[in-house]
Amino acid sequence: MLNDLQKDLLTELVNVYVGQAANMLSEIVDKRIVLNIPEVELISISDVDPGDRRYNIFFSEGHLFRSSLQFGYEFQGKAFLMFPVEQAKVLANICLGELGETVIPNDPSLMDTDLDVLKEVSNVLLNAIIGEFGNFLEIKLEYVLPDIELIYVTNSDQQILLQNEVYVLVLHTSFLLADTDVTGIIVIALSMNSISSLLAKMDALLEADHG
Amino acid sequence: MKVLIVEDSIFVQKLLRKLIVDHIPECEIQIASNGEQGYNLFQEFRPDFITTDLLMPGLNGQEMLRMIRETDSTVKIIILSADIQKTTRDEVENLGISGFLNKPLTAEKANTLIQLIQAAYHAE
Repeated sequence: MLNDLQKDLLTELVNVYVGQAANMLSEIVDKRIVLNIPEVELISISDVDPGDRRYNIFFSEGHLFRSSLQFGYEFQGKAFLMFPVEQAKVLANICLGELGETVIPNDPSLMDTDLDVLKEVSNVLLNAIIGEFGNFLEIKLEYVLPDIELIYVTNSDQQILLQNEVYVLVLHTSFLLADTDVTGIIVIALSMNSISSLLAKMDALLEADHG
Repeated sequence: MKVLIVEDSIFVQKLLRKLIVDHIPECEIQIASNGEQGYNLFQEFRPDFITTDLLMPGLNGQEMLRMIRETDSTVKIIILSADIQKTTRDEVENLGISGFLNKPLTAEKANTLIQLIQAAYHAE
């Protein structure tokens, strides 16, 4: 669905946006963030082969902390940030530790304070990425309040989570907090109209660049 | 010196309270969790300085700011938001703010915030 030039530009944009978001996370937790090179795919859910590891975007079977930020109107979609629950707990503990709060080591359960922290961290990260898409498109995005969920994902339903969106801009982007095993994944689902707007803007930019 | 913090995240509420108390211990601080509470507290508490988030449940920060500016053009208001869009910043700047800081609150931004509160304090 994306030609090589479009894919190259989109990857570059995402690279910059995720880099900025990672920098923000690094400032929150005072740790270096190791970024993987983002891989951008615009895929139709119906084309996804559940066995294809490239689209196995929900880690393996297990409990996940999932935060989502819905946005509209001219550019509509939903962005997700996911961590395995035990890693989300580590992230929350690091943040609360920075604040001087007492944390109980090795307690795997997510308390209300943990969820509040994770919601705030997710909000900052997803805003950093989605907001830049708004800046790129020169439109104002309206946000719905971020939502958080603890979900259990089995191997068979890893794709069903996004079934309401026909096309999905998948950012195969993960990041790792240095000295920890905390790895997060970001996925952005866009409506077809929004994808068209994004492609039109990218094409205009590419056209200008290549005369 | 009276400071009103309007913020839905308990984590950020605590962060801001600690920051302000550590630097300006004589500050009197009130906290609201959304724009509606913030507006009500603004009327009762009559703060000298307000720091507010934008995206909050119920009445958001931008609407609260608009309502406050209908009756008060002097109270200093700082936005502390994760929203990095230029259009959002332009809109709230047109409503009259003393500053716009993007989350997360780094040491540098925290320093800026404290300086702004202290400037407002000494201007009293």
